[in-house]
Amino acid sequence: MSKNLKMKDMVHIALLTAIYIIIYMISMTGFSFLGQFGHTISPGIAAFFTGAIIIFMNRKIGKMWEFTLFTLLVMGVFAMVGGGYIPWVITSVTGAVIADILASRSRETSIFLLAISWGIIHVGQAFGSIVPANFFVESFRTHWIERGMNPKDMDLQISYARGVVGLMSTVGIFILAFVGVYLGYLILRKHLERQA
Amino acid sequence: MVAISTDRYTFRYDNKKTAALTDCSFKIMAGEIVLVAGDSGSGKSTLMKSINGLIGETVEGHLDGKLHINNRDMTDLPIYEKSREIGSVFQNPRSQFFTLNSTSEMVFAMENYGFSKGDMDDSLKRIGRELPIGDIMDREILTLSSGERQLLALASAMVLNPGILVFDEPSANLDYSNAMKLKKIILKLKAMGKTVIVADHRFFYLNGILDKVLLLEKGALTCFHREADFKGSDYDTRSFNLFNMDLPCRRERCRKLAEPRGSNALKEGEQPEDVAVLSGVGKWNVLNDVNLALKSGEIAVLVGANGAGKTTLARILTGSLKPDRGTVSTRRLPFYVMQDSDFQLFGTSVESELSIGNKTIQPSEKEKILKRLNLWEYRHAHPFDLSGGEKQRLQIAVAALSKTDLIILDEPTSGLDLKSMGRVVGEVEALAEEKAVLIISHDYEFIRRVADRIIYLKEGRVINDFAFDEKNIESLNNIFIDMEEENEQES
Amino acid sequence: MRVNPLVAFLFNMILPIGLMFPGNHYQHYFFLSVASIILLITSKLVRLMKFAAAYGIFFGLSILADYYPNYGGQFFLIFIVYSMQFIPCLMMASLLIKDYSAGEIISSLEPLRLPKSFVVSLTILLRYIPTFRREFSYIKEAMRLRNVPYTIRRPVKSFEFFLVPQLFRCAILAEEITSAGLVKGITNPVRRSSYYDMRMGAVDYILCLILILGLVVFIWWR
Repeated sequence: MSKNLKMKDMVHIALLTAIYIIIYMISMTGFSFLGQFGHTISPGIAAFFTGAIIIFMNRKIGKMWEFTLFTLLVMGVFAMVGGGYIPWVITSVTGAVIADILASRSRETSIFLLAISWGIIHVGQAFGSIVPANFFVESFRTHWIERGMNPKDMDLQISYARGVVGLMSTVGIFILAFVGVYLGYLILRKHLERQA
Repeated sequence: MVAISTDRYTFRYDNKKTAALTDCSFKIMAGEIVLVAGDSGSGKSTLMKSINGLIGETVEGHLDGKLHINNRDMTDLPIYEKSREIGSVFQNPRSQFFTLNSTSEMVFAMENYGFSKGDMDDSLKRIGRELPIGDIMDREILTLSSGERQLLALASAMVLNPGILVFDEPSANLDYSNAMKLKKIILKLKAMGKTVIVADHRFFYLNGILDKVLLLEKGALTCFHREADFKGSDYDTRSFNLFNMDLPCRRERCRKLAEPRGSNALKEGEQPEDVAVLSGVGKWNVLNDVNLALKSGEIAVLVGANGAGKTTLARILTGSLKPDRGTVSTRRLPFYVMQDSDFQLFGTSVESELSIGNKTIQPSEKEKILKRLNLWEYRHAHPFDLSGGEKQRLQIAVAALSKTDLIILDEPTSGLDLKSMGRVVGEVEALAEEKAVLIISHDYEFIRRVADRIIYLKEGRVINDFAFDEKNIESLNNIFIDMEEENEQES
Repeated sequence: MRVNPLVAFLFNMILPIGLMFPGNHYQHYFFLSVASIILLITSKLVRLMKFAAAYGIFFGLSILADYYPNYGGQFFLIFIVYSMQFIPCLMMASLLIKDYSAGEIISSLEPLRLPKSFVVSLTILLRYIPTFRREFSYIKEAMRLRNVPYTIRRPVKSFEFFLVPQLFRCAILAEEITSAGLVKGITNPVRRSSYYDMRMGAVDYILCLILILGLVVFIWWR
């Protein structure tokens, strides 16, 4: 069997990505009221429910660059609806490449490694929004100091805000994605055992 | 001129010991209409994939022999070269289209070949002169009727102006009237100088227009140079003449049923109970005033043109849709076997599938039904590893075990060859021993064999509802002719 | 008149970069103005008014939050103001989603010379998103009819029945779609052309120039 992604593999990945995006959209609507900050949590929710997809992809295709293609397709769709932020693309693709290097060298990658990869892919996605957010929060420092707030208090507030966002985005998403893969394994295990 | 010829073409799949095609040699002349016939597993689809070039791209295997198209040796050419000469018309609605818009779909192939906009427009104009594509331009594919989708699939295959058109089992996804429409289209293609090759299990719609028949039996090919020769062969060709087929109907075969029943007949004595009653049912502008009672032990077949509301009616019976007017009552929740079984198989094995939704089922009951339906050897297999016919049988097994009194089957024979269809007849009869069965079908041969009762749905109403036996085959035939005419008027 | 999708893409790429260099309030007004002008020249007046109303609400909330810093106001203020920054992006998104078909957007990407296999995969992806969405409802119906309803009480099983058949279908579909695509030349090495004429016009180039210059100016002048 060829080691490179053939057209049929790419079509297969595109179809699995379609399922992923539908679930992503559903999970996003629940958090859209948080505006841009909802965007820092929704990758985690989506990742939680779609853990089965990465397992399926690896077991059925299991070739190098499958996750990168997957991420590029996801970026493509989001860009088409207006979400193509360069920081996001860079961090997401970096995450995907790392995931591929970790997990796409075989069709029997351990669930543990797949869970880590899924976590990395989604943290990569999340970084794209935290990076600009971080810079922005920083700018409030001047605003509040002008208003008469104590710089020390201010720094505390800011680091708290950044901390909250940073924590939610990075660790939270990673954990959600990691657990999501085990959830996926729970529901797929018997099916994959039986199938040829 | 020779359009296609093969010379001792042999193909063996990688994981099989015996060849799928052995020493096949044939010549097809330009402008001929050719049928490729054969049972499932005969090598028919392998031959079609060889002609259009899919062998070697999606399939691993060993090839011997040569394939010539328009006197060019095409054996080793990549598929995109072959596709300029051969257009393939796929009919499976779930995977035939790439876009959501009809114009985008038609230009898709031309874009792949780098045509300029001017050339693309010329090609569309050229097709527009021969086929009525004006009405289907720039529309959302989801809104097209099945006949319009068929036209779109054909137009999309013709944009590269191939000399040869290949149709792969068109009747699997077309109802009777659209299949007859296809006959007219094929004749038109011949008039345009195209060579047409159709592979199919059912060939009634090709009656009288074939120039050649290639029959495959276990990988070996026999060529009939005239349609009449094929008809005179040992192969079962009764289905060419659909309406004149000598098929015993169910009532002839089972004397269990006492008297023919119509909607007006009220016989005394043993009266099977109503398991479902629809009274004055209306829904949207599809169903207007449907009155129907389904009875236990009866196999009723619901016929009607596409869009007549057959599936809507079924969904009202199952409670998925609530009627806008009128009432529906069912004793128990009916069991609905959808046309696409992929949405209804949830288990990790054939055996475990039977327990889903039916936890109290005993292993002995499961064994009995699986053996009856020839699925016992597959009991540990994953449902998605089964063939189309096997999935269908699994669905029927689940239906048989369900604690319902009405089973609705939606196009249970679509895509099945004659032998598998025959098996389904037996299985449905077994179901009807204790339950009522309502079948939605456009498969004439199947209906002839299995129906006790025909219900014709047209313009939102049941305009004909009669007990079916050898005396009123004509009525059934007239319904089919009526549907064909209605389809004609629409175009 | 119409604005090329690439302008909307560029806008949405540039704005978040601008956010990384805050310090000049006018940056936000600049983007807001450009987005409004684009909606004006594409004659989307009603839409512009709806966005204006939404903006007004956010603005009002931000004033409120600023006025009551001690009731968590300052925290909310950051959220609100940050979200306001993206309203111009939503305006561009509305153009992409509502005013262009998938085929047109893909055609507009032609100058980017993306690999053909990627473009084809993206096409298939876009084609199947609405299809699969519909099919999930068939699965739900099938589950109800099989007496395995979609219930919160057995979440894992419900989820399994909901998702797993669709995943397995993808493998079957991939085979069919690839075959259908191969006979339509998706592996043809020739460069893909496009039917829809989505070339950039003078106005498009001017808008892009304004955006890039604006970004540079606001990064520099803080």
